[in-house]
Amino acid sequence: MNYPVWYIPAVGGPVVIALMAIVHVMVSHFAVGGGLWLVLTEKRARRLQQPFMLEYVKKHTLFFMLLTMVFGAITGVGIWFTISLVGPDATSFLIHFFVFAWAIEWIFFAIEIITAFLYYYTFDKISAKLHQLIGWIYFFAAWASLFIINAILSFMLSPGKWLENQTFWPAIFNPTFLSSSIFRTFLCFALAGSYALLTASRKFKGQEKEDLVRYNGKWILLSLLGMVPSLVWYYFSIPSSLLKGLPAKSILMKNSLIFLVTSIILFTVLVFLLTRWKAHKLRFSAAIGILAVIFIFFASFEFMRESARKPYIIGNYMYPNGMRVEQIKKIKDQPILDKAKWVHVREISGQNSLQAGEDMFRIQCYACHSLGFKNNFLPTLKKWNLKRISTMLGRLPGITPQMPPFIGSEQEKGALAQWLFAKSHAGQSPEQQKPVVSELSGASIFDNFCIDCHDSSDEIGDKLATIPSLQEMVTLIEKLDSLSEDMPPFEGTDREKQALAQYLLKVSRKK
Amino acid sequence: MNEVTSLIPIPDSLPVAALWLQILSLLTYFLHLVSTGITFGAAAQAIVAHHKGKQNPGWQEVAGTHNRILPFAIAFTINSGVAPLLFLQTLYGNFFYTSAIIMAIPLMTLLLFLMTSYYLAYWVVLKKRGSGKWKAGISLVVILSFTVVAFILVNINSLMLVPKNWKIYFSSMGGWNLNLNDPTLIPRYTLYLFLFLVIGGAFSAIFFSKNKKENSGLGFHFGANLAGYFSFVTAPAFTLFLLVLPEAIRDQLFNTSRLWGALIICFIILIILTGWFYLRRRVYLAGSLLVVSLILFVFIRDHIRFLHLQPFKDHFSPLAAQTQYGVMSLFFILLLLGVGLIIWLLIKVKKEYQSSTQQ
Repeated sequence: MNYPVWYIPAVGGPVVIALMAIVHVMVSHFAVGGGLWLVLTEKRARRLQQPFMLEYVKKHTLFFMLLTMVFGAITGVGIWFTISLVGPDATSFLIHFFVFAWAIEWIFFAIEIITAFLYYYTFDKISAKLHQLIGWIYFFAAWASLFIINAILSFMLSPGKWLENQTFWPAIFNPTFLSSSIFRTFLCFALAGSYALLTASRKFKGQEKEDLVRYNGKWILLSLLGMVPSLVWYYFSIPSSLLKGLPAKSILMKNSLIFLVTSIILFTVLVFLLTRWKAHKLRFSAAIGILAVIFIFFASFEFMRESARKPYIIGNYMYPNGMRVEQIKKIKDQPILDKAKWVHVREISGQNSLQAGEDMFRIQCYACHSLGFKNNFLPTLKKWNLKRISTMLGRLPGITPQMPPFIGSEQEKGALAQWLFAKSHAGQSPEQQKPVVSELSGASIFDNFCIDCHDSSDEIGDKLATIPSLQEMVTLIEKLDSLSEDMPPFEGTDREKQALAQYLLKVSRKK
Repeated sequence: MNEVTSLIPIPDSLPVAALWLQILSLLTYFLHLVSTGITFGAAAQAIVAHHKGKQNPGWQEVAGTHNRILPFAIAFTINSGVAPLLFLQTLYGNFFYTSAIIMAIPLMTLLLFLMTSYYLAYWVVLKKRGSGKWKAGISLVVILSFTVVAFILVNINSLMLVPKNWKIYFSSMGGWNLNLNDPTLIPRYTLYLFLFLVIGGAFSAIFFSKNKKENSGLGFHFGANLAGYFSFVTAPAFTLFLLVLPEAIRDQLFNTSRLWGALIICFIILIILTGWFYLRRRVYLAGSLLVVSLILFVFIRDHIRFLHLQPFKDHFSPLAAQTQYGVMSLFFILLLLGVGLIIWLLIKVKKEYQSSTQQ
């Protein structure tokens, strides 16, 4: 509410960040691991006196330079632009607090550029010793960049003691810093080997190709030996408060976990089989396949890291919509439209409540929810009536721990609910809404009212096994909101209540 | 709270006194200005040289040299642009982010232009064959892309100075805006383009004066002429820019503080002298004058920005309760070590390279 919002509801800001970030991290991590790969492979080629391998390093250096220095550098700037546009409050905070960390990173970035140029353009023109020294300096500078960026990223997940003292070094050496640094370092190496397979499979043939493919296969498998344990360590270094809710946070989160585990297993198997067995036949398309699998692994990892952080953008300090935890404590139930800077409506009246609702959506929900491509909640809301939307808003985060609380007055909540209702019901008024459950079956009523929070009737059936009679079940449904703070009251008709009670009684007796 | 100031976001606090960040901003912006000028100038000269190469093959060699400079120049332009943008966001982030969000689409498009021109610059170098006409065409695309990038950045940087114009946000919240109604926009933009050409020409003149190749003279004279003539054009462009500034700012520049008025006059005289000496081929003297002119320009530009934002000084970032002077010292130490390392490395590489070519 402090900054204007780059409002593209059909796409959603987070999608733009995700697209830019995914392509950038794949290249920026390669920029680090590739540095070590180049210098060690060059050393090996010279030690074994293998001219084809030296030629390979030279060819790969050009590819490396074109990918990391052009695409990597520009998408790096692109990420900075994108986060500034989508999350200006968080970006501003991170820029101000870590300004000298970014400035130090800039020094390393400059060293990276100069040494990368020197490494490529002085190949075979200076002594091997000096050439490799340039390679080592490049690698150190690139790794130092990773060290700093990772410190800031891990701070966002786990600010640790910074929350108590707000000083610089505890923010850098936060609880997940070390494990994530080690994990990312090994990931960089694995990526470097995977990219190197592209050049090996495309530019070489026969025995030379076999040697290079085997060499890179060994390189990747050794990287995995460090990467997998450090990933496990990283997982357990995440604060227990975040870890507790991790797999349950959302279905997407569970899917990402499945992708993460499957892709790393598949990657290991593919690399092992394709680089140890018939290595001389490795096709370029197979090398692309290997790279694609590690991309999926990496994307799943980044998605899980981002999701684990929710509902915060900076752990326990700031929400994705830019509101700070402390600020929310002060203004929780007060009107916010009069405090927000970039809204059309400051005071709600009969005529402007829909506009006010959209303003509320923009400043509170849009940071994570779009009305189209990603995290679109309109299909869910389509099944809800106005009262239910309003009730759920008031109960946030409730059963969805990844959501921040709703901030604003009752009137503002009503305006937001009204706007969401209008959006999800294509302009229909609440009075015109037809009953969403056309068929009076217990299962469809369960699907309509309960399924958003309760995975299945089986799960809930276990819990209800002790309810002795239909009447007791009806009574329970009538006082749902008194069972837990997170439960909304049942908002169906009496007939629907009866049908649901019968259904629940039936599923509870199945066990 | 008036309507304009009510839109200005609340700033975050600074980890060190604003003066330090100001100094770093000026220093790094100077580097960025120079590298942008070299990039722009190299692209512009490559087009002309390719075109002239049809009649005289010597020009093809000059064009090839400019093409080879371009990827390095772009890399340093991007790198040197990061630091001033960082310090700008620290000092005036609440103004900058707002302006950037209002023009989100042009800002994102900028990346496409930048990436296209960067890859094309490499492509021209790596592609051994290809006619001069064709390479001139590619170089034209490169320079047009840079021209668009510069236009977008000038839009964002000018809108951040005028909060009363921020209301255009409400007409397009999706970021399809530009600051076209600002009377300072075009004079500011053309001033930059001219200044880039002066810097680009000056760099070429120095570069080719040290180059022993047969056709270096062509590049040398062309660079010196470019720097010379565009220095003359820069003086009136700068004056026009001053004339279109809001009256209150002009008044503060020339009446309230005589110092800034004097510096402005110095800049105009120096840039004319720079042109004069370039045309007389005294490139080292002209180059030194240009450096002083650019330093003055960087200071004047920063002061004009400050004057624009001064009415909103209540919205400037305050100093944080927990300062970070220790981390800033570490930054300076690493900066010195980094510069020292690179200089050492370049000397060592040069020595080995020279001895290997002599053998």
